Amino acid sequence: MNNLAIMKGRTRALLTDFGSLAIIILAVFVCVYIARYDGKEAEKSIRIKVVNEDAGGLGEELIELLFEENYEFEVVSRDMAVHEVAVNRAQGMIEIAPDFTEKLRRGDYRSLVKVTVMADSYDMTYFTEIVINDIVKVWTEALIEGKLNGIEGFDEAGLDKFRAMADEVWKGDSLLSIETITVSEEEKPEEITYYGIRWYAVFTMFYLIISGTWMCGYASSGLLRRVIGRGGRISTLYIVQMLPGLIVTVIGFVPVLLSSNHPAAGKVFVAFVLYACGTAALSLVICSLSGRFVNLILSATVVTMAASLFAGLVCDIPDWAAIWGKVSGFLPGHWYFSAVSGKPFLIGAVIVLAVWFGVGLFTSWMLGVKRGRE
Amino acid sequence: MKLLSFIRYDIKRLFGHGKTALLAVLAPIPVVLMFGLFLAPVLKDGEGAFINGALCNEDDSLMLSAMMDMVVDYEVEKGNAVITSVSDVETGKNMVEEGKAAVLLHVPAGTYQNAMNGDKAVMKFYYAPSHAFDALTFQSGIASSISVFGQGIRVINVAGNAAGMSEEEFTRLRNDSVSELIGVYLHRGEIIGKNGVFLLGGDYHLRYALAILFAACAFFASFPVLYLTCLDKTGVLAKRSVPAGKMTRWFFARILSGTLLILCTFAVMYPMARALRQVKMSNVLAVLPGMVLTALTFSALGVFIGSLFRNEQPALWTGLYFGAASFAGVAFLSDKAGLPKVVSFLMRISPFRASVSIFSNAMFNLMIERYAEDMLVLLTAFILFLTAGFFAYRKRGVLYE
Repeated sequence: MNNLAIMKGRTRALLTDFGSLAIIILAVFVCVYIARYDGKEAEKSIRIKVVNEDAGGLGEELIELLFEENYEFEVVSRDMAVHEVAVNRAQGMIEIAPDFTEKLRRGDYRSLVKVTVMADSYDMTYFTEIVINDIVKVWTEALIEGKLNGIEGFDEAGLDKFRAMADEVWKGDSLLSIETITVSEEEKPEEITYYGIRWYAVFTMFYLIISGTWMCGYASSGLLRRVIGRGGRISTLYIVQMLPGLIVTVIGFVPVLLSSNHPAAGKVFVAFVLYACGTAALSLVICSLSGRFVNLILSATVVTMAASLFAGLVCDIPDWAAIWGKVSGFLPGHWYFSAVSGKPFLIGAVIVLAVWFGVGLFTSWMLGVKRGRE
Repeated sequence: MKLLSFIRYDIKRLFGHGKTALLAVLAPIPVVLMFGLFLAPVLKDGEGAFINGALCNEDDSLMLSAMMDMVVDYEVEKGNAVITSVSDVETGKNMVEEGKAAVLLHVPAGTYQNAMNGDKAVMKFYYAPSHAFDALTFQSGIASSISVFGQGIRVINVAGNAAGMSEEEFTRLRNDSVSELIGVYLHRGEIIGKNGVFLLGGDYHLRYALAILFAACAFFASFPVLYLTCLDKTGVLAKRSVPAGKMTRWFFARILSGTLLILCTFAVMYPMARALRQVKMSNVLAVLPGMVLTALTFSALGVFIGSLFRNEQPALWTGLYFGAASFAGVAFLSDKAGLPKVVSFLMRISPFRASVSIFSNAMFNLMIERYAEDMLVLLTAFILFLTAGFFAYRKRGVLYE
């Protein structure tokens, strides 16, 4: 078989088949975005509806404080708030009780508001805490104002002065704070993020596995049947077929790497090339074993998720699960992650690539024997 | 053939693709492992409590000690925390290093008095890197509330300046006010009609992630349905020349057998979800109809997409992209304001979003209006996919007569 012609055909097909190419294009966009915003706090725009049924004026004060928080608050009627939450136009609602001011004036703090939160976002973790803290602020001011009003000769001007000073306090530092320290290092360890280049590697794995779909078709016109029929080697054809995809993923990696500002970009690039080749070899094994296209699609998802997770590409592995960090040494992602973390990778990555390539040759040979008998 | 025979035959075909069915059902396991990776220390060391910590209180002020005791006693009694008091910092740090405690809170001597005098007081929160997830979640909750408490003390101090009161008057005002402030602090949860001091609702992100896993795995389980429906064109339908009249039974058999396969995925997921995050049994009743409707909808969607294509590969690509777009939309966009109207509308009617919403909300706290709306979205999607799928499937079947 003319391998060069097949590779040319595959390259043409790859560049015109938007279906599969879209995966890598999307991966580049998503990862460049992640790389650029890595470590920066994302602007939150969680929508919260506020129902103010308070008959007094302190409900308004609470709303003013809430509006300074990092959520998108809107004051609406109760019916509207329920409707908006129900139809997913808001992630939560706060109902300020009709006797909010009255309770605060007499120092009562029970059931001042009702908070309804839909667990629709990762950013809702501290929402209830924030609401409670703002209420405590209003409650404290109301408490002190009540006490100041009881002082003989204390007038409205004094009250205004107190309010202005209290306002400054709420905006400023606290007298009580907590310093966070890790026991092992006495300071926070420097977190290795670079999620852009890590997640691009995850997408790459999925893309490379999916690229082997031609191995799942065994129709009379299928490439697999033709190569077996002519006594060709599946592994050689696989390399020829995979090469354009590999080149595309490596090209796609460049803007992601540049956006990440990694200090050792050159080493990471080499590590990624080795990772992509190792993953391609791993995907040869998966494609050979899958048999059906549907199995390959399901396997691609499961294998990508599991392998990337245990290699530390999806997220950092906790210390207690360090065993996974060692066991995952047989995965190409492990050595790529080492490179991203600034650790040695070259020998390990080359060995893993060679091993997976060997296993791939064997499984593809087995597939050829099995298909040849059919 | 009766409908039941069709269903039995179709289940045999669907599950008969042994590797495929096994992959579809077991797909959630690696994902759940991811959860386990973070939560195992919490589940293992905390004996079910959210945090297992040590406390080293070197401050001898009665007020602070009483406050600490009240907070600790309450959280321990509620099962939210396991707290061990230690006499010195080194002992506490050793406990954290040896894994006997996840965190150590060190209150240095003079903390309370410094705060009362208007000076800054810093407590120290030690944690093991292996407990970064639970420890930092807990720390964020406690730090923000302590910070507001400290600001409250500062407000009391400035009140004295504003009023220009005597030392004696100010001491009285401060003592009374701080005492009341501590009272509120110790019952923070009651402000919103709940119990507890810290981290009320601190596990929303876990609920959300669990719900996304549920829906994503259910969707992937529909792939064999989609694939088999597509294969019918060249497979069993063509070979058996199924008459148009029987296509209805054949169609519904496929929907039901697909539903069963997806429900098998839930059968794997649900016990794991319960193990990771205790779900009240009372909420199970609300989740079950959501699971069944989700399974029906995704099954109908699978049949619909499978019926549209002549070849299985484009059908599976379509399914994959639909799933990926739905997943990305829910994971990154569903909680965002300011989206284009079309995107907002699509998010609102997305069956994937509705399914996630049902799981995240019904499993833990049920807001009936949201639940009803989400069920309605799923039901509408199910009817639409069912109707569209039926015509596409039937049209194809007639061709083989």
